[in-house]
Amino acid sequence: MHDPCRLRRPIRVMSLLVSVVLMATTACGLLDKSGGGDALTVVSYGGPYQKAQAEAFFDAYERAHPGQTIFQDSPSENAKLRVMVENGNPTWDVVLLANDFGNEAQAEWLEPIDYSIVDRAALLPGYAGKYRVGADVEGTVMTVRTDRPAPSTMAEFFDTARFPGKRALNKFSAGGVLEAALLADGVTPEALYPLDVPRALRKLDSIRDSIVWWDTAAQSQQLMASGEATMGLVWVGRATAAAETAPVRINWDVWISQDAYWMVPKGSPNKEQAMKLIAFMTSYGPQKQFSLESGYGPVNAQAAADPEVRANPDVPSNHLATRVTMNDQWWSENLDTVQREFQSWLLQ
Amino acid sequence: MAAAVATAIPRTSIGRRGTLLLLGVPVVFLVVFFAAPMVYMGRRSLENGGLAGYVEILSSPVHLQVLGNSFKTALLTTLSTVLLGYPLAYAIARVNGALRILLLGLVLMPFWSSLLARTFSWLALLQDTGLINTVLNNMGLIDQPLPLVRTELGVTIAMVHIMLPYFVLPLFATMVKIDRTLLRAAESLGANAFQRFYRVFLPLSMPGVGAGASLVFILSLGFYITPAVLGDPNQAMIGEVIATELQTIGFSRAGALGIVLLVATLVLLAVLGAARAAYQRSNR
Repeated sequence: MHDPCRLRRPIRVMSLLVSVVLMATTACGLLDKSGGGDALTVVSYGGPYQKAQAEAFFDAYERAHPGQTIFQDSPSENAKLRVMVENGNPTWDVVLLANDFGNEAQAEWLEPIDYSIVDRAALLPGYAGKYRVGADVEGTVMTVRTDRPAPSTMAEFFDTARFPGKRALNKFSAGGVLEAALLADGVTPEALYPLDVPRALRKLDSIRDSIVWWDTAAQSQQLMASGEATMGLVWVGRATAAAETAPVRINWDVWISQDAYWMVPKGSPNKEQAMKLIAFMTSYGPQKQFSLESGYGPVNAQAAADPEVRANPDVPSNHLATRVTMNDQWWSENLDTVQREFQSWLLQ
Repeated sequence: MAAAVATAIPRTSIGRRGTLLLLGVPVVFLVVFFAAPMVYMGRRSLENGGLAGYVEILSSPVHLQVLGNSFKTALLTTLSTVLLGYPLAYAIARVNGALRILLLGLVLMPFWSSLLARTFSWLALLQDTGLINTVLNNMGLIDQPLPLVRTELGVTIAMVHIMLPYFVLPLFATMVKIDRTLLRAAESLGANAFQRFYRVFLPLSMPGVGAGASLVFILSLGFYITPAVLGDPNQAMIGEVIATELQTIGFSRAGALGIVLLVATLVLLAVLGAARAAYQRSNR
């Protein structure tokens, strides 16, 4: 080890290896972008949902714009988007994320939507955000077994004496569970925000032993379909999927918004093409086709009013009158502290 | 270090350059894909007010409880895996031919299906309306479902099933290498079957137990979806909390939690290593 020549050679070998690795990673980075302005990378939730989007949106866009290529990726994640933007090299152009992202508080990671390209007037109220455009109308819905006594209000959902059985709830503070508890406790939808978190947790405490928490959407569907839970607050797509195989139905008398939005990562090299794709995906034809395909509600007002879409009783956009809208702005400012309160309540 | 390795291998076989190349490729791989992300995570964990994030974690009853839960569940899983896995590895090492291949195949089978699928299969068996409770109920043996799911029992059953191959394979590899003539020598010196196992075979198999158990313990610590689906919500493990932090809030506290978990694990392994070294010295 004391002979200097002995040290030099390993250094030379190492530097050669390092440069090979660096060259390889740079080459990969270049290949990713080889499509230039004619290729867009779109990221969504994956599964049957993204498959329906591919048919109604991505494939249709490619057909309507010869020469345009759309690459798909999944699943989308807030964390990945943030890292890409912070490292200055977003490889995603159009990203679908849930309503807890894309608010003013996340401006540093997103491009503002260009409403000279996207038609704001065609959208249902509330779906044209500064940094995001609604992808479809979704919700967390009260799902009940039809082979058991079923509640019809949130208060009854929390009444374990009259309606015994397990309740499937989303184990995420911003997943609608606190709103549901406050509604059950007599708070009106207009007076929900700012959320009285301690009051909501006290209400949840009263049914604690009857709660079965779900972490993944597949789990919620399984709980409802197997009858392990006799009622639940689950995403609409999973409720309708459970209803295909089991005596399960949705109670549309009260439900909570839980939407998905398109956004464009800050610094996307294909910003203008990305806006054009969003404009296409929120237009009448693709919106109608997607709703018929997937059962989710169109955000395009004309598509939402289409008789074919109106004919399906479980499409969320047909029940806007009974919807309780989440205050995404409030959530994006308070998620951090509320999530911690919720977590410590769970551990008690 | 490199020189020491180079002298240990005869020069004529691959030479110094070859040795360095062999060493260099994995080192570069580890630097690029392990050390660099780790440094990145450490830096991001200091973003919100430097060490304040760490102070907050270590003084928060919630995070300490979650960390405690993780170590407790990992320990319980490791102990159960050892108790179940040792006889299994022993049996596989004792048999030969087709039966050995069949048994190894059965142990390896869980490796070929997804973790999520296995977790949900356990749910289908263990839940209140699952196979076990339904059968027992129909036979009239129980009138209330047994608490097999959303309990510590449920998560331990599933985690032991998932972890068994990680324990059995290293132990099996150790056991087949044990020199059988030592057992015959012990027999010729008058040792009965129990003494031959307890005084000769068991000590010789301990390195395999140590390797397998460490692997199981470390992997169990980071478990996320299995405890979330099958476990008691007030027994949440740190993996779940890190995932929620990362997905909803950001890197800072998630990174700090990860570093705390890493350091706590390293400290525990160092203590175990020191204890083992002391034990070996005292036995010499």
